Amino acid sequence: MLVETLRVLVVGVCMGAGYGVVAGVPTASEYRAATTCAPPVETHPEIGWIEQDDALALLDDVDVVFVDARSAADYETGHVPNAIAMPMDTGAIDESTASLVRGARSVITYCDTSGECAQSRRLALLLAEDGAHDVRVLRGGIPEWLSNDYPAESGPCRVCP
Amino acid sequence: MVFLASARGRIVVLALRLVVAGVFLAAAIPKVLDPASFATDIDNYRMVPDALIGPMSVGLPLLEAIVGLALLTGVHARGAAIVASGMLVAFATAMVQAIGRGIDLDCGCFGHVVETQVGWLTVGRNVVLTLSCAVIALGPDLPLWPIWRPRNARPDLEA
Repeated sequence: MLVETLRVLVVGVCMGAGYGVVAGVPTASEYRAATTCAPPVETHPEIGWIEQDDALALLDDVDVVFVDARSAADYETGHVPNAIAMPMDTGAIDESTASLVRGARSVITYCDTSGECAQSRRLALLLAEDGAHDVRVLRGGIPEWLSNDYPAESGPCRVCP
Repeated sequence: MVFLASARGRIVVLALRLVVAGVFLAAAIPKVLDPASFATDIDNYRMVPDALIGPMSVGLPLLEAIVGLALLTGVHARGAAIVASGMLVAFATAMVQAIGRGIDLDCGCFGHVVETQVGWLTVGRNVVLTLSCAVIALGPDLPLWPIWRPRNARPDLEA
């Protein structure tokens, strides 16, 4: 069986190497560019990214709502001021909480990691399908927000139902 | 082991083999067609050095495809099951470290055809597939057809 295993491994690795030589290997600039330029939700190109400094400029705008996709515990540890907690733990949005963002001019979702933050993208999709206007995903998420020393607060969500 | 050598056991082994083969082929094809997206998925785990991400994004899908084909056809199927279990354990380890570090990401298991967030469900799926691979590796060496007879069986001795 060891010989069989080695044969499968050798054939697989050789074919992979051969394919890499023929088709080329993606470079860091290529695969990171794909992350940077692609819309956050491929099926909904109207949902776009928003850069950290652009989001900061909208922080005091009462018609713009920040929505936190992380768990309630993470939210309470630290979040964008006045952000609404809408945990994506279950993969669905809470109807009463979603009603808070429907009237907003813009909605900005974020979660805990930069790059391919799945929760904020999923939340953006659900909110857009729910009728929210101008939904964006915060590029870099809360880690970059905090590392920029932008305003943050801790504690439970005050406006959430 | 005795059960796996029985007629029912052989059917179980073959069924598991086809399921794992299907999973590996379904996982490999989108990645082979779009290695840059798979490289992004690998990068998001933040555990692979930059120099290895590109080669892995091309090599791993081909290895998955070879493993899938071997399991499907029965050629070196038990060896392929061992390679598959090694890959599944490595993928599960990557997922667990991502969960432990609080990294929220798509698992990239099936390229971007099916987007699944990394979590204990995806880890559990890998564990189940790994156990299936163990059964295949411990089971009889069966060709795809006929399923009722081990490849090395001698009809003249079975009577």
